[in-house]
Amino acid sequence: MKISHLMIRKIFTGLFLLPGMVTVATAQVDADSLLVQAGYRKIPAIYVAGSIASLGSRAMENLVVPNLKAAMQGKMAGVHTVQANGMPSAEVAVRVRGTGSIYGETEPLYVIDGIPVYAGPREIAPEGIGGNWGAVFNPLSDINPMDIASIQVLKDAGAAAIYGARGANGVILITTKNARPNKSDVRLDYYTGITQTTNRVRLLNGPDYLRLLDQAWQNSGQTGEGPLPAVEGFNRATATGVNSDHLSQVLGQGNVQQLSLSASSGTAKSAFYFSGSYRKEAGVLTGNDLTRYTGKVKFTNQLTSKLSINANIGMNYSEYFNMPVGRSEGGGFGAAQRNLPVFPWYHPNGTYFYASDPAVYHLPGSNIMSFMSKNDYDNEEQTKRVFVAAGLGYKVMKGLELRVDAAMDQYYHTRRDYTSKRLRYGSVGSGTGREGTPLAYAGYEKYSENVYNLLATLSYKKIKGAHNLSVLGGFEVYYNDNPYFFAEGEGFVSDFLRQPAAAAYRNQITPEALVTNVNVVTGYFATADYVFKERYLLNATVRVDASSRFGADNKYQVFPALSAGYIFSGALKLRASYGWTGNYGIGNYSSLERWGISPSSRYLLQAGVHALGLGSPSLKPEKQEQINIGADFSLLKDRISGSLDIYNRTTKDMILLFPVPLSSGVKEPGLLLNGGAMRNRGIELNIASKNVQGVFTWNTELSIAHNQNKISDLGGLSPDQVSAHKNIVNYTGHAAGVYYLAEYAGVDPATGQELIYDRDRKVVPAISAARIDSARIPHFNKPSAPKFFGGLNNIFRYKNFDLSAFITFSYGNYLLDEGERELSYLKGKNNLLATATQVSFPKLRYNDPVAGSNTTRFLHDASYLRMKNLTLGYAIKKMKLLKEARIYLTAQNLFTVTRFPGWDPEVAGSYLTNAERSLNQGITYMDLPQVRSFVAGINVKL
Amino acid sequence: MKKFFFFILLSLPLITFQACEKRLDIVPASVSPESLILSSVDGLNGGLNFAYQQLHTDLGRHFTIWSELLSDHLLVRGGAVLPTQQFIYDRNLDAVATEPVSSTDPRLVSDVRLRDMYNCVNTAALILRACENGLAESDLAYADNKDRIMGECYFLRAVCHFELVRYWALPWGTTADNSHPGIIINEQPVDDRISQIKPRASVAKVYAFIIRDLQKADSLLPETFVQGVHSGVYKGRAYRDAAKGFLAKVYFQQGNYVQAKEMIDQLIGSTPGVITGYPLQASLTQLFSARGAENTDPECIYQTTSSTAINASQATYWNSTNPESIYPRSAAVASKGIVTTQFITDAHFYPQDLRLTLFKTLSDGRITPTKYCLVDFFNIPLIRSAEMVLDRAEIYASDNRLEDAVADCNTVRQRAQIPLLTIPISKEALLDSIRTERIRELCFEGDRLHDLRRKKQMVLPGERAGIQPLAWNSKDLVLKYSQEDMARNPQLENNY
Repeated sequence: MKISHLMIRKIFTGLFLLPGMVTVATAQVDADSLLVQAGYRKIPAIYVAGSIASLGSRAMENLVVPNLKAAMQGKMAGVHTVQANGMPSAEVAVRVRGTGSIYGETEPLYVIDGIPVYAGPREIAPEGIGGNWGAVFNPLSDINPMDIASIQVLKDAGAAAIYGARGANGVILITTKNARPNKSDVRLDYYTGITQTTNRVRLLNGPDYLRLLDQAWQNSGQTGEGPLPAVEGFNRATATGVNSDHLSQVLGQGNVQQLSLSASSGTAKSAFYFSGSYRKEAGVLTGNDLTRYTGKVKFTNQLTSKLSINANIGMNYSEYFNMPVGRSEGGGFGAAQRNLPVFPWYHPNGTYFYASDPAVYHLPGSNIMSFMSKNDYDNEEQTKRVFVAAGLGYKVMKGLELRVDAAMDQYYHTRRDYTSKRLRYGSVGSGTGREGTPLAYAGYEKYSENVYNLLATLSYKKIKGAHNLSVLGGFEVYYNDNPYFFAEGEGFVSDFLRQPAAAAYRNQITPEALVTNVNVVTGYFATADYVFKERYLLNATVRVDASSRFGADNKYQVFPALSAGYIFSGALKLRASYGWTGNYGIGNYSSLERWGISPSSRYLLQAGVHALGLGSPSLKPEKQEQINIGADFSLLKDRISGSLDIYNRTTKDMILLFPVPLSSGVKEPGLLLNGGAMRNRGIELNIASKNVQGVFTWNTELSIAHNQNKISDLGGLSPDQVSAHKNIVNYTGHAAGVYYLAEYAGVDPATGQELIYDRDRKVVPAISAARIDSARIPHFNKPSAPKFFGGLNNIFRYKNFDLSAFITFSYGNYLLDEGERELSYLKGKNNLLATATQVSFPKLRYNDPVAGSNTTRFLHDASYLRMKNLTLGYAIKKMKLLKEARIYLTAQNLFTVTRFPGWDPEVAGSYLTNAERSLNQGITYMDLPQVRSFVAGINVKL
Repeated sequence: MKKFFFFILLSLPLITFQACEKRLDIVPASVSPESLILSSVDGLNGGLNFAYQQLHTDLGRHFTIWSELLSDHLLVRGGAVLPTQQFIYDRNLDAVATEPVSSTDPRLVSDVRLRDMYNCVNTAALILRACENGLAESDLAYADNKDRIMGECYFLRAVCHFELVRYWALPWGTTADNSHPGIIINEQPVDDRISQIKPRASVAKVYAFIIRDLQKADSLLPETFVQGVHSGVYKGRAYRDAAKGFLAKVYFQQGNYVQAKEMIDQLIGSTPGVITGYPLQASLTQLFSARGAENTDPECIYQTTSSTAINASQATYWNSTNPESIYPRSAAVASKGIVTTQFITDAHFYPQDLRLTLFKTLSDGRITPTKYCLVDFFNIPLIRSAEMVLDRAEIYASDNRLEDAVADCNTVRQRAQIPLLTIPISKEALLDSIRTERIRELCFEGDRLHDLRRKKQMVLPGERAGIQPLAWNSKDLVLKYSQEDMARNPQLENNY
């Protein structure tokens, strides 16, 4: 859809400024209890002086979302949520109040029912040829969103300081469902639907490709027909008869179905919750399927008047078939775009036609048909999570309670991949004489995250007159290890003996990997909530954390915070907080001087050990100093309610990678040291309004946030030294991740020559990579992070009908589409965009020397407005046997308003390192677009 | 009782906590600090394995072919598969310093080569420090292996510096006192990044450092591998004569013929025309197809030793179906490395010369060397007695000991089964013959550029079109430091 800038602006302003439309009760209150999770304790929402965003049970009810992180999208101001791509288990990038780090972690801490769980990213990168195909796996995709009662996000230091060194990126507190006292519920949810891609990029067909190939060949000074890749049994004559639409083969209609059953029963003394679910999703990319099973049991019991016990057990299993997307090699989504439309899929004798040279060892050919055949290609991942928590509470005396909780979260991720000898050749490691001959490959990887958590708290509550005091002190031990196992083998007697153990040849260079990796955090914490006359609120929190990750000289770190509030009346509360949190996401062994072995460091087949890094004993967590000022308000008898927050979040001791001169002779290219600073400053608004009440109700919920990031200190490093991609650098005084590109100046109408601006703003032809490189400038006014983003939900109810229309939006961010560049230059081995036939397209040259260079030609405004969810429901209440039944129809990602010309503006890349995740979110390369789904479902409550 | 219960409850978690506190100091099992890893002979050997691997990643591979690509006897036809090779062949050394490893790996190819060498240097320095501090003294095998380990460290470090200074600095002799910039010397292990922000040492200092280290290696290394004394991994690595061989090469490169000859005499025997140590072998093909530590060619003083079990990474460059190779072993892949017409003129082989078996005539009549593609993997000769004896012949000839020079040169001619030189012969004619013999014998083994520089002769363009001849000490033949490395070390002076 082609839409002008102005139109988008009009739509935005129109949506927000319709009079009377605006509101929400800061969904800050869990409707069931009016208590909110505030970290190790619940406090009445009204007493909260820090900044906590919530999704209450009502908001979570009837959500049709694929995973837990997606449930938060657009609902909580300041929580920026982007799914990496449209694969069923793709990682979802979540940023609370902007990106606060470059080389440290940027994802928040996830805590489920009081216990921190493994939520990614992996500590150890995947190995083997299928190692990083597809998207980075989202570990939380194994949790059934239907089990969630509420989500709280601790956004400011006042709220998050109690999580100390793990709180800097915000804390997501997830509370799962439990029975209500003296109630029994049985609930059945089922939905099923179809999925399709939200967008389709058009590519050249066979005849057009040949025509442009010849043109390009002649444009580059040659005569006659342009050359085709040298592939056996392939020539101009065969090419002329072929018109393969690779994309249509790999993309198809997907489907999704989910069945959940839950039962709960409560008495005055006990509560019990049980649930199970099954989800099956066939992705829009053929072969990309997910199946998920979850089971959960939760109970609490008041054994005596003093002693209570509780247990919480969950088991999740998911099975996933991965296909290569993005930059992955092989015949997946990328190959479907790159492969020439004149390549047939099969030779006349029925064998696969290799679109690219499989003689590049270790990498399979890129024929998409071979990858869609499970006989020839199989990349199956399985995840298992066992979550067991048990605790006891003991009321020592009135107001004084001791709690001890122990928990274990065991997460296993296994991957088996197999590529038959029909699509690959033996690797160098397979042994002499086998490299370059057809040889099957199997790899097996098991990655585990075991989290053990021990927590003891002592709390004291006292109300005397106008004074209301709650004090809590405690300590926590968090132990996390991640054993990793990998093996691979080549040469199999049969395609049905697919395990590395059955391989004829072990890879003699990288036979296997077995690593354990450990980190520990121990923390003491104390917090006091004091309320005077139900009007004055005061909280003081302090946490002391020590972690094995910190350098030997800085083992203990202190994180204090103070927040205060004043309630004018029920209608207005003012809040202010100041405090410190830390970011311990710096890698397990970053501070250690250490030696290790790498598979290639062997001489005469004897393993070699070497110094990996110099170590930095002074390394400590980044610290965030945060000020938050906020107001919660309620107008017109609660018809309009909301909250407004302003914050200033400063990252101090920011960790940077100081590059080490080559002459130092260590493997790692740099040294992580605390040396920089960064600031995030922003404003967040949540509004809920009850526009119309009565038989017909109309509620509106809006969340919108603006965040401005600025690097204030780069520790003396140059812009390109703080970089994880040559097109993205960093400047002091500007937002992190600045596009560093030559500016595109269009096409010379006379010659068709692509033009750029040089550094003196003179228009020059883009004739060489060196010229483009020398014209690079930073584009400060085209940020990769949005100027504002959020969501708008309108809910209408009339008698038994409900209708909700949820829109998410992102405005002012730019995306560099490197995939578009790949498909814009004719190199002889790749297809081109269909627009290449247009006159306005720069003149094509065969093997253009600028093909590898990005300019702003591929940098696009990626503002969008998306009809995220449209649901129409019909509920019947109080029937025989049933308490309630509801049927509904949902459309997700129904339409998108954007000027972005590529696959999808809602994309977040898929990366393995912190620096890439922090800086490169604005780069897309042949990523699978989000899916549009049409779903019909039913909820039944007994 | 109630109070007691309360106390127990409270103290239980505290005790547990104390126990967990100890876990804060994690010694990872997969990676260890230097003090532990270098505390045994196995650990020290492991470090050395890595150092050798880093050295031989380039020695015998990149550094061998770069010498040929920069000089005049090789023609790269149809574009080298590795862009670096093409850039070097085009003498476009700016491009070499800016070429990333791949589109997803932004490291620069030439930086990776530098890093390989310095990784080797630093590992050697760390092992030396561990030996000086006696980290492994409690290991029973240490006493027998200490000298050997230290000798290997000095050897490795010297060879790395020698390769670096020959490619990243103007050649020896460019200034009268060799005070022009050499490379960064690392004599001490590197513990921090600040100490590495330092200028390049002069070429004179670098050569002095190399010679000092090689002399130490010469005095410390054992003559050969001794079963039961040395760790098994030592077999096939550097013995004492490898240090002597490199000393001879270094002195010869400097034009220090007196000391070069002394080393050569020690290696092959001091009687002209008679090679007692490392005798020349009748089979030339055997020289380029020996495999493994057990089967090193008797003519080789030092070589990149391949394993017998697998095509170790060292050999893939040259001689497999690996598309990187410019002399592919597979007949199906077109050879990109062709000898130039200048080589044919310079070498003017006798038709009966046995060394012609190391060439192949292609269907279009052009000729490609096959030294490196006889078998799938093999020990790559780095110093062999033929080189030593030709060095000495040239030394004798320059010293007017013509008879001795003829005798030495004839050893090589005899093996090649071509007519022997006879006396009388003029000094000039003899020198010319010896140098021609050197081309015939050592062609494409990485000798050409360094030899032209030693002789201070012009480096001709070969068959490159539109390229001017370069002086032996032209900056256009010296590799550049990357902008990235210049930024990391502001005191680094570049080669422009």
